[in-house]
Amino acid sequence: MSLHFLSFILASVILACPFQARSQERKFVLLGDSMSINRSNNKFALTGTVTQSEDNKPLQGVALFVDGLKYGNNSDVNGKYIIYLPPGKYRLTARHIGKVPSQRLVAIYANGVLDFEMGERSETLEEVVVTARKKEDNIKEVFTGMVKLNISEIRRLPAFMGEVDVIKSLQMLPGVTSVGEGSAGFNVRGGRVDQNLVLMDGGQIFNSSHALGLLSNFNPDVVQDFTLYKGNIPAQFGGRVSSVLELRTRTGDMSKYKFKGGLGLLSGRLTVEGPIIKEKTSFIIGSRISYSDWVLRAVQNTDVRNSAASFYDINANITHRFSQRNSLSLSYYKGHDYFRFSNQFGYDYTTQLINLRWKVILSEKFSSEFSAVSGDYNSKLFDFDIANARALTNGIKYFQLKENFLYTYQEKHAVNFGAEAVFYNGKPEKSIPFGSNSTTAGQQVEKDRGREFAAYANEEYTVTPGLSISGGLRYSLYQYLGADTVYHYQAGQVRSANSMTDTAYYSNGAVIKTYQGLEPRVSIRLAISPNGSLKASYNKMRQYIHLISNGTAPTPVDIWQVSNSYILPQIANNFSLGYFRNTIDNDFETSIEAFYKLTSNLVDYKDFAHLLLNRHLETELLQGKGKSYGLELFIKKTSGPWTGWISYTYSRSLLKIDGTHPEEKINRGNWYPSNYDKPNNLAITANHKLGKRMRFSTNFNYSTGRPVSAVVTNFPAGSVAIPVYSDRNQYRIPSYIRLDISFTINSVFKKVDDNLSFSIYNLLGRRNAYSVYYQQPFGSDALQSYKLSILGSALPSITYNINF
Amino acid sequence: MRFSKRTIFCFFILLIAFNNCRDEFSFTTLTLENHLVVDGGINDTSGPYFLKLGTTTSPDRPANPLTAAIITITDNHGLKEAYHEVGNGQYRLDGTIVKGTPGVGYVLEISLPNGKVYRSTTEIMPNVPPALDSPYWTIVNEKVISSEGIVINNIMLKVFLTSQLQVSSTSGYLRWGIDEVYSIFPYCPPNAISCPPICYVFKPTSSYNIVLVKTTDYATNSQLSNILLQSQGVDYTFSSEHILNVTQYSMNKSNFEYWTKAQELIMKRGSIFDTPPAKLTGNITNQSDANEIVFGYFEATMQRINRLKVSRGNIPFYLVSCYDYPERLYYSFCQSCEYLPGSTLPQPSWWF
Repeated sequence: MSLHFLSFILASVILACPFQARSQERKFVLLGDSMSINRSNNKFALTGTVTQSEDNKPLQGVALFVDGLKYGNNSDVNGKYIIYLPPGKYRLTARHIGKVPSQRLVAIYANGVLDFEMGERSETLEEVVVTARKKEDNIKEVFTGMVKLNISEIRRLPAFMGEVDVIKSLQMLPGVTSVGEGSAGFNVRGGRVDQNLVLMDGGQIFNSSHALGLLSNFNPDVVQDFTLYKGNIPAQFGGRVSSVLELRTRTGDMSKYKFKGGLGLLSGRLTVEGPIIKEKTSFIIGSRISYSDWVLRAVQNTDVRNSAASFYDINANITHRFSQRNSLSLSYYKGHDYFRFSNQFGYDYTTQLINLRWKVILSEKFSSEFSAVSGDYNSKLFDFDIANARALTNGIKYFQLKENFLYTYQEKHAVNFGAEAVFYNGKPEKSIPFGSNSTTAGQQVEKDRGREFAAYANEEYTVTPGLSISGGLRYSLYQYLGADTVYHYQAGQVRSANSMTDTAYYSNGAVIKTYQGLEPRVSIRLAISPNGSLKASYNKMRQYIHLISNGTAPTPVDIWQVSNSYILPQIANNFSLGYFRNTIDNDFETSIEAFYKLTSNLVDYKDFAHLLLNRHLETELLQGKGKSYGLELFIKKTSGPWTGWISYTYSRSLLKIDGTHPEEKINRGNWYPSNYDKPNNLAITANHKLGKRMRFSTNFNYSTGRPVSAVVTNFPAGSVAIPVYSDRNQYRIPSYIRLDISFTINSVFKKVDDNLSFSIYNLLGRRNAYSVYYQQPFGSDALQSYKLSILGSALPSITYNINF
Repeated sequence: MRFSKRTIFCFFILLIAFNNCRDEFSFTTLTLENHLVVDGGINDTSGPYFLKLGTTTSPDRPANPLTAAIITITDNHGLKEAYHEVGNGQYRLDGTIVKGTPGVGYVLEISLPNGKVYRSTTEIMPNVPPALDSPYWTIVNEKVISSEGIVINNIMLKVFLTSQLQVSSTSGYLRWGIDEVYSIFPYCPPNAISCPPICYVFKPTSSYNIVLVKTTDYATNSQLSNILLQSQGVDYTFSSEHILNVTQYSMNKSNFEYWTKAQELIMKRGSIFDTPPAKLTGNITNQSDANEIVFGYFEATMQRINRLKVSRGNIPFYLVSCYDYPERLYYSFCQSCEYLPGSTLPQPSWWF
């Protein structure tokens, strides 16, 4: 067949059908639409969509290179890409982490469409790649402080109890920390845990932890990728003042059934996916379950033997594709934890999420995504004492609607605009006696309700190849709703039960209080050399929901409280400035970023605050200022037998509560460190590929000890020595040091896509302090200090993983 | 060895799940020294009533006794009486003029040799019916696993409380505490002409629980059942007779709130559920400097005491005494017990 004849046939197809059929790999393809020749600059637009072969889902972040030109682009959230090329013959390569690279030979003579379909690559064939993005994205991306990882990358990190973990991998990156082992959530750039918006397919997750924070509740077999915005946050996100963690889960394979699973000492997981109607409708169900009780039963200590600890989670999704442009997806998530210590106390908590998403590509430039989410979070704290046996319950429900439009124009403009509404409904806090011998009285405290509306627009504009700007504006409006009884307090007095003067009742649906405001977002990138760029950003964020948590770290039984007449929204102004530079053909990525954040109405607590079953929480809360600032250094090696990164962060996180009355001040109104203020953080991650089948990984973590209040003297009360504590958070526990290693063997059995992973968490067996506390030893009339460690030894684990 | 082999799998679960990985730890801090500490009050018994004064020192040492203070108590009928210094920072009120009476308010005033004057708020002694207590004790063998994986049998004496709450139109605020007195029979050689006297040793407590109850938290006519008041190892103090005085204190609301905060402070074990600690100050202030920190609470309480006796015969294993060799030589109190802290020779009037 002659080349001209082939050109004719292909051109005819293109004219008839703007969405080109997929070309065959390594065959020469002529592309062009004579009706749309761009005569002005003699370049033609090559566009298309990149999809996953398993489920035909659009693939974001695929790097498309044109060989020889050192030129290319990335696919967007809808898998779409556009590259402008002069007429000629080219070799186009599409690369994405975890996918088999795809190459096409093309001849361009006019505008055209070329779609790519990329199949999953088994672990054994993977190169050692430590980035989900195109190598130079870190210098070309307009946003500051944005981290994108996918699950293939975090699988290379040493696993905790055999489980790779999203949150733990984030904590290896600059600016992300936690209070310590066993604490739920994570802190970003000196922000509180509740200041992170955690989204799973667009739905808010209120507790992202299993097992008291030792694992996150994101199943690695179901998660596709995740993005953390810690600097500039695009205007399509809002409602939290510190960061956004956006997770996307996978949809099922449209063409064949697949199974993926893993078996460890304490937990197992299984994921099944496949078509319901081939190439139209697919499903995926993934679940993890722990079975640690057998270990507890083997221990001789009676209390431990009578204890229980377990968790499970389920992710399910059904996706129907009406056409290549139109798909509907229904997702369900449930995560549950249960813990009981002997016959003394216990807790359980459950997160449920139902998410309906409808994606439509309206035209080559215009697409829409609508989502409706219903979320439900429940927690229970059990007291098993016979006389006091009761369960304390609380939780929150929400319903969220969001419509987002994406408009792209040429390769210079990408505009997101839309609106969202969230209705928060705090569940009543209840004390429910159980057991025939319980003498406690039942109690119920109604919790507040509110609704948040937002409209936004955000444009990413590439002014020149060296200058790009992202600018956005979000307007948010929040209403605190009845039915509720609002307490009034004597003017000029400390809010307390004693200063209450009156109450006002508001009927169901009545708007009691309204807060609103604009939230500008700006980020600028300026290339100052081919391999280096300067970036700066400014964000204003508003947060109308708060985690009421008067512990050293959040616990599952903390209360989510919406803003009301007295609890004002948190407002933050975030500034960041960074320099990004790559060297040695982008094999090394380096960056230095500085940030400064000022927050108003940050919540802290009066001394001896009582938060449970409290009808007037405002009498126990204080609000003040917060400031955090820091410097993040990052060096990453992206290719070669050794890959990995070194990240170092110096940061401070300070609070100032300076009310009118002495009871409304903390530390006499001076700045003091937050619970998670850990100035020095060093994380080193290294991966080494040992031949085709084996891989060695290691992590090293160092951080300054967190602040604590320490005992400075004691005094007797009867026979008991009462400790006297210093001002809040004036001392620090010892520094945290941890080394982990893992060793993975792929293809354990021939012709099976499997691997066996050995890991040792906390190899040094270091007893890192979580806290310091004081106790009166037997027979003593004074106090002894003790150090509490959550992990007391090296934790080995072995996990077998299989895909078929 | 069975346990040791499993340790590799079990140990981390123990540590992760049950927060039992603790080490003694030297934590150097600045100390808050020389602040006044007041410990004691008045109750509805006929007296005498005792009060202790001290000054704070480092965290690992008890308060220093404060002597030569002038202390008076005034009730809201205008009656006033002075305390007498007993020694070692302890002061006694005879109760000849001012008596502890339910419903009456009391103010304490302390004048120190340095000229500073401190005064308490008016403490009203509550007037609500106390609960009817039925304390009891039991001896159990508790197995504890050491950090080396060795199982240790601990013979423990546990004191429990069962109590019938009384119907009342107002909230009742209750606290329980235990103090102990044990007798020591020093060694008396055979055919000795005179034997060393028997001592009665007063011991504040062997555990540091603060048990508190707000009656309105419970259903009407509730019975509190099997509340653990104290747990202690069985040692030489049980070698003859040991009496446990279980005291119920009925308090006013502000006193209860103070003890609730004290309970919160002493129960901290460093877990994620611990709330941030804070300074606990009481109801006493310096009259010329309201910002001076003063520790302790002058309280006015109703008291009901139940006494439990544990005899040597109740202990299910052999306990050495001063009549065993070489213990009678090893322990100095086997020759003379008068020098044991809290030791007295007169038998308490309530001894049985």
